[in-house]
Amino acid sequence: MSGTLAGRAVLVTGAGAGVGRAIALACGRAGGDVVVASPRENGAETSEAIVADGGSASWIRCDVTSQADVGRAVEVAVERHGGLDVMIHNATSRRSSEPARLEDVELDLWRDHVSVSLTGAYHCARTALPSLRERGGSMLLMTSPAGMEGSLMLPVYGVVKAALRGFAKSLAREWGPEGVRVNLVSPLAQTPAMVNAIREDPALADRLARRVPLGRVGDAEHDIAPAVVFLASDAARYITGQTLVVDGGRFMNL
Amino acid sequence: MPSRDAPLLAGRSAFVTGRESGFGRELALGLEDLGASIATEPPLDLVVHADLDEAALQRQALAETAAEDWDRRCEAVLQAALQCAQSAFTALRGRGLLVFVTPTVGITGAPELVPYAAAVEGIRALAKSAARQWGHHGIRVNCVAPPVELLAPDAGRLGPDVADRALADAPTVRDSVASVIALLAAPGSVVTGTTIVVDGGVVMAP
Repeated sequence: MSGTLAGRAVLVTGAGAGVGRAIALACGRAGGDVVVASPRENGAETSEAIVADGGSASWIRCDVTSQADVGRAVEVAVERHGGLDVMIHNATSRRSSEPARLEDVELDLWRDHVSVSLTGAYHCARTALPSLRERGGSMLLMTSPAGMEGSLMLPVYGVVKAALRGFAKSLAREWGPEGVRVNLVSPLAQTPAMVNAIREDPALADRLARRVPLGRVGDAEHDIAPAVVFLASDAARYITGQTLVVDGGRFMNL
Repeated sequence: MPSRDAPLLAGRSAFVTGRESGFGRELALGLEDLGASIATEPPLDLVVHADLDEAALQRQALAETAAEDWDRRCEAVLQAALQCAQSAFTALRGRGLLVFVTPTVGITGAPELVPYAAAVEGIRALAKSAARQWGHHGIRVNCVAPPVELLAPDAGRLGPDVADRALADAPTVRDSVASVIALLAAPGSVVTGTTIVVDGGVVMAP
């Protein structure tokens, strides 16, 4: 298949739904061989959708908090596609959109966020490095405005998303000499949680859109995923350590 | 009410985590020089989180970092900051200032310090969210960012990506950190959720 990711093996964590699914679909459409990593069967649906679209994909059951699971997912890429070119760590805690007061945060919620976002990033990075190094590949991580400017509603989500920026910037410096790039994308996208919230409160869509210069909340597949594909492709070969904010202009870098 | 000539922190009660040794001790002394009394229990006006497990500054390639070291250098550092914030929320009793010491490696990124730099960026976001949530409680939350070498002089240089320090004199930087905290603690201040870099001009925010 032709495309900017033709012949590249791409692993996407949390690819069973939402933004991760959209990224996986876009990578498939760009010609990539996609390894859909998801702890649930929805990963199989993502994989089937890519294949139905003429792309190449397979689902591997993968909980990123497990080093063994991540190891197996990378092995699948190596066995089926000869290596791994792009590791995309998108998975987040299922409790990501649960509002919290910092003074009341319990370790249970805290550990849930930390284990998927941060322990998961650690597993993905160290497992993928040998392959990424061999193929001059790259790693991508998803961050959030909650990490860059703090969050009134989602403080723990903000902590782990910010930590991923410290992680990626440092890793970009560490891996740069080995020819491996590390970048982040900060999306503003309609998530399943947001779609539900808008169904309950239709005026919410307008209130959100008013804060976005481009006047709308992004669509994961058409607005967010193409930016991820760009960073994964050779067109971005001189870009590393960066956070690409893909949010219609809501947050502007200083 | 302190007189105009009184030291900036006269009559203020400060709790400093990590004051038993190293940077925390130096910082506590610096705050005392500015008039603060170092306290071990409420009531408090000021809480400074300067505690750090020096093992977190052990330099190592991430791919060679064992799971328990990742935990100690990243996740445990973050969790200690959460616990400090939660204790401070209670101890400040609805008014006061919480300051996190967050070395500049978080902002710049640093090779072979991936776990710790990740934790530092997480702590800066923790401070911002706490500032948003606790502002109406009268609690302000800020970060002060010195060079990481100040926390563990043995951690060695940051690497070829960071220029030589413009200001090499560690005691001067320590005093500057204390002075910045004193300014942040000014009564009536509206400064909250921010990071002030105190490093002699190496790292400059855009």
